[in-house]
Amino acid sequence: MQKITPLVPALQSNWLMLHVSMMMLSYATLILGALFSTLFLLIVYLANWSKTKEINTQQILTTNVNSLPQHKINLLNKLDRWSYRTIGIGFPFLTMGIISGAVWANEAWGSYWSWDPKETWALITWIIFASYLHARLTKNWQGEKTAWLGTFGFFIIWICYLGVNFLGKGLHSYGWIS
Amino acid sequence: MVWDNFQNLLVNSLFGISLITTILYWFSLAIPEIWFFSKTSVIGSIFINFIILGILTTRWIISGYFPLSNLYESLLFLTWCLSTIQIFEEYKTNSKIISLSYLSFIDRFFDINFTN
Repeated sequence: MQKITPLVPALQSNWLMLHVSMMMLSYATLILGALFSTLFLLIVYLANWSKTKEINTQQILTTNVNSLPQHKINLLNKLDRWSYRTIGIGFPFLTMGIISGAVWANEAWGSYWSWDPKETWALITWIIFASYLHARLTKNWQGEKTAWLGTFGFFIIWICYLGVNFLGKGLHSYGWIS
Repeated sequence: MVWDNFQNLLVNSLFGISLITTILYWFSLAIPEIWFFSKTSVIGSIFINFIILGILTTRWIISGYFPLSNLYESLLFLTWCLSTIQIFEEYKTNSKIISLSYLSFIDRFFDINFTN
């Protein structure tokens, strides 16, 4: 796979560079944004867990962010803000990647959208992160609730990038070990 | 042939430097008082970025197209994007814990690299 081979005829197009680099940029930014969300949840839950252990009460574990020490709240605020920012950058990249892919598909295969597994999962990823941004903007969600959405999106991206290829079907077969 | 050897050298040095940088990041997180670790870890991550850029460029020179055509090459580009954003955001947020999570992805690249 590391061997350098001449480009297969199907990929000899200027769209290759635009489409794949946009998709990779969006994967990178969305993965990082989703990782911030995961880290947010991890810190909230670990901090609360160690606190309840210290006090040794029989209470149900409540994740109240306001009862944490100040330096942890600062870190959590930072993570929350940067998760939003990074996903906010990644989402336009994903949109451009999908659109450029559709235009290329129209040129090469004759239709804009053919419900290939990769395309379907890219659409699912797009919907998940669209709902993340919508929850932020219109419902004023923040902190833990959006962090759960972001963490969910993290797994969806990996299914889209690697998992789909295990099916071994579809038109995007060059993106795998061969 | 010269470029092939050069690329091989870059891949091997990337392995060494990312290993050392990961360890430096762990130390800088565990012992934040020591100035040495927090400085060298940043330098290490900048080195990683340039080495991946070097690998991409040599592949471009050898093959004549920008390397995006299969899993290996797209993963290479993905790690480069991750590394760039990591450096930028570590600088902006001034927080080490954020960077450490990315380095594990550079390790994913090696999983692919050594499976053949």
